[in-house]
Amino acid sequence: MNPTHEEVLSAMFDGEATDPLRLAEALSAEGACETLRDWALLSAEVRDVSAMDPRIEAEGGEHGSAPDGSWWRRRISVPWPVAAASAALVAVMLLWAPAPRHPVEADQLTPPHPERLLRFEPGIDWNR
Amino acid sequence: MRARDIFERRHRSVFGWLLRMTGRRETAEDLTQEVFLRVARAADRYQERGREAAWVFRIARNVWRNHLRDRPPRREPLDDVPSLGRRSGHTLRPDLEEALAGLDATDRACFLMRELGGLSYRDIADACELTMPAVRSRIYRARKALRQRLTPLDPTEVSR
Repeated sequence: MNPTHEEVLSAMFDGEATDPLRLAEALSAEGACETLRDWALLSAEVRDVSAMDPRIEAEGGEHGSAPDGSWWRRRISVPWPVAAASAALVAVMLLWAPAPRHPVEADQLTPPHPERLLRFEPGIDWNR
Repeated sequence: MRARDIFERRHRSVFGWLLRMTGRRETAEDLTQEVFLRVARAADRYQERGREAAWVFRIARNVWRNHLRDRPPRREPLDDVPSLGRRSGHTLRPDLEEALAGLDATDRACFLMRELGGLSYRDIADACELTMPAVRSRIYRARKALRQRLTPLDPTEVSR
């Protein structure tokens, strides 16, 4: 295959318009198939830019980071219906909670009269 | 808004092109930033409908040429470039980088604009201020040189 054939094949490989007769001649030349195969492999390797993209690499780095093994640091995702149902259940439980069995008497909440607190002595029952 | 759209469409190819052109990841990142700063400044004045790739890569080529003018080119071996060429445990061949570095700079620019930017010969001609036949010859020349310099690729390894 001569250089003219190769140049025609190169243009065809890039999708550029070429003279059909010259293209047919170039494709018929010995070694045309191997040449195109090598160019295709070379193209695949040169075009492998995904590994070079800084943003893709950064995203891959985040997603691809290995877990540190600490289970309490792991995040779990809860579906929103489950979260909503849980919140509703807690709200219902708070609203319908039973009253205390031994309600505090009102007089127990009243502080002693100030006159009886003039002096505090340990061991003396000031309610007496 | 428009500059942002252009960035979304072109930043990967521009970064890839600059990375292959310079061989240095940090430099490529800096130059990519510079390219899209210029794009943002000039986006309102951009009138060429349908020739966006050519316009962006013309800016990228100017930025790259300014970089070469200000700093002499210095390429690093592939192993020194963090994460370059690694994908799912597959490592690109270092000799590809060397072979690319050994090409004529304009041949390399044209070839990589085609491969990484997907530019047509017409767009590459605009971006590099060349004629279309010249672009065609340069891309062919780059392919031929790379094929000669590289040992045959294993298709199964590439497709992995």
